[in-house]
Amino acid sequence: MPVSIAVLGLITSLILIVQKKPSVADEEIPHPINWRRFLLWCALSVIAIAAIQDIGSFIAIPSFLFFSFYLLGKIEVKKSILISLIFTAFIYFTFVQLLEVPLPNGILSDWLDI
Amino acid sequence: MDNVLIALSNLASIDAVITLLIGTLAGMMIGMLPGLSSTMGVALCIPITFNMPPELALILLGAVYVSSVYGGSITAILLRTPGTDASIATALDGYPLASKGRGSEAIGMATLSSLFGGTVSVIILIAVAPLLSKIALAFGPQEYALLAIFGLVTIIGVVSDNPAKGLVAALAGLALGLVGLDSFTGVPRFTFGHSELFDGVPLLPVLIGLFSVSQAFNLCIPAEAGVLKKDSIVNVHGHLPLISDIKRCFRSMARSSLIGTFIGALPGAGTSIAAFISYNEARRKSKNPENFGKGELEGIAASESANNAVTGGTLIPTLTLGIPGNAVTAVFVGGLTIHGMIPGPDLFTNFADITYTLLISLLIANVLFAVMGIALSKYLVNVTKIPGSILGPIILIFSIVGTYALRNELFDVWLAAAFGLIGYFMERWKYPTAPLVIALILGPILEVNFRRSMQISNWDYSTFFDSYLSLAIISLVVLSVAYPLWKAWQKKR
Repeated sequence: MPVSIAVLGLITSLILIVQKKPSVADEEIPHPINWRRFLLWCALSVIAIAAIQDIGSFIAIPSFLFFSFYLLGKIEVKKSILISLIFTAFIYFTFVQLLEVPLPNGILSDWLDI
Repeated sequence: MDNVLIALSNLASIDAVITLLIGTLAGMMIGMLPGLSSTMGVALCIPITFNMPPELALILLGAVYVSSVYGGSITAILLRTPGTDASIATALDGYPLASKGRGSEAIGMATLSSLFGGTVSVIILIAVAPLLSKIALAFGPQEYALLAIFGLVTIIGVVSDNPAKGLVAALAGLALGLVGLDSFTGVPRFTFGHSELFDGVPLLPVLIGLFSVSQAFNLCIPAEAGVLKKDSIVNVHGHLPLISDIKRCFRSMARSSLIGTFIGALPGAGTSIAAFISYNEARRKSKNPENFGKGELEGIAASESANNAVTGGTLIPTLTLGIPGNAVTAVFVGGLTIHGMIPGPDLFTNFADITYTLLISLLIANVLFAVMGIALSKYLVNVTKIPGSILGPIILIFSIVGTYALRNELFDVWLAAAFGLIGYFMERWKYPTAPLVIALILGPILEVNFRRSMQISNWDYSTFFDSYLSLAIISLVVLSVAYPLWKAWQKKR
C-alpha cells in the first residue's frame, strides 16, 4: 500500500509539472495574503491553544477572542469585551454544563469547582 | 398492522411528543456545532434514557440521530463549516449560494431533501428491511475493497476542475490513512512514538481543521472579509426555493435517496460516500454540470437527500441482524440492549410494537426538523451578515473546543490547527480538500478489505472478478473513469 501510493504520487506530480500552464491563468486570483495579519493571528491562536492546558480555557478563550476582535477586527474595546464574554459564557454553559465536557480549567479550577 | 396501531397510540401521548420535540431540537443543535457528531449526540443521550420506558428512550435516540445529520447541513451551507463528514458535499454548493445571499433558499432545499431522503429510507426500512440486509451481507471483503475504490474515483472526479490535483489530495489522505497500528499484525506504522496516533490519524480533527479552521482563516485574514460577497443582498430571491426548482431537483432527490439507503445498509460504508456518489450522479445527469460547485441547488438536494437516507439505511442491518453499520448505530445497539431488547429478528416479532414506534417516530422526527428548519432558515441566514473578523475567531474557538471535546486530548487540537493551515493553503493553491478527508476514511476500509480478500484467496487476484456484485462495481469504476475522459476527448474534437 505505501509503495503504491508513492508510485501514484510520483506519477501525478509529474502530470502536474507537465500541465502546469493553462489551469491557473483564467481562474480568479485569490486575495494576496496579508502576511502581517496572518502571522499575528497564527501567533494569537498558538498562544491560545497553549494557554488552554496550563492557564485554563476560560481565561484563554475570552482573551483570544478579545485580542482577535480588537487587533484584527478593529472593533471598539467595550464591544470586543462584551462579545467575548457573552460567547465564553455560551461555551461554558453548552459544553461544560449541558454536555459535561471537561474543559481544562487551569488556574481557575478551584473557582469553577469541577 | 396491529403493531402499527399500537405504535401510533404510543406516539400520541404527551410524553412522546415532548420527547420527540426535545430530541429533534437537541439533535439539530448537536449537528450544527462543529466537532459534535451524531455519534456523540446519541451517546450523550443514552444515560438520560436509563430511567425512561423503552419506547420513549428509542424515540429520543432516533430523533437525535436523524436531526443531527440534518443540522450539520445548516452550518455547512451558511459558514462552510460542516459539523460532520456527511455534510461536506452539501457545503460545495451551499456555501457559494450563501455568499450570494441565497443561504435561506439553500437551507430550504437542504431541508426538503433531507425530509425526502429520510422519509424514503424509513419507508424502505419498514417495507423491505430483511431483504435488503441479505443483499448487504453478500458484500464480502472483495466487494468492500472495490466499493472503496469506487468511492475514491468518484470523489476525485467530483470536486476538482483538475483531476490531477484531486488525486494528489486523495493520495495525501490515503497516506495519512496508513498511520496507526497495522490492523493485521499490530505493528505501529508512522506513529513516530505518539500513542495518540495508534488508532490512526483521527478523522474529526482533520475534518474540522481542513474545513472549519481554514474557513476561520479565510474570514479573518483579509481585512474586510465576510461570508456575503460585497454586492449581494440577503433573501433577494425570497427565502424559500421556488416550486420549479424543487420540481427540477426531484429526480436527483429520488435517486439519491435510493443510493443513500442502499449504501447506508452496507455496514461500514459511511454517510459521506453516499453523499458524494449521489452528488456525482446528479452532476453527471444534470443539464448544466458546470454549475455544480458554484451554487447549484440540485447539488444540495442530491447530497442532503442521500445523507439523510443513510440514517434509515444504517438502521436496516442494525435492527434486522444486530450488525451496526457505523459508530452511531453501534451506540444505538447499546441503547437497545440496556432496555432488554437484543437487536435481531426478535425486534420484529417479540418487540414489534416498540420497534414500530421507533420507526414511525423517525418519520415524525423528519417532519419536525423540516418544519423547524424552514421556519428558522429565514433568521439563521442573517449569520452571513456578520463581518468575517467576528465570525472567524468564533468559528476557531468552536473548532478548538469541539475538537478537544472529542477525546479530551490537546493533541487533537494541535492536529486540527495544523490541518487548518494546510487546508488554507490547499484552497489558495486550488487543491480540493474533500478528497483528502474521504480518502482518509476510505483508505483503511480499502486496505483492510484488500488484504483480507488476498488472504482468503491465497494472493489470487482473480478473486475480485468472481462474483456478479464485484463485477458490477468494477464496471461502475471503469465507467466513472472512462466517461469523463471520453467526454473531454469529444469536446476537444
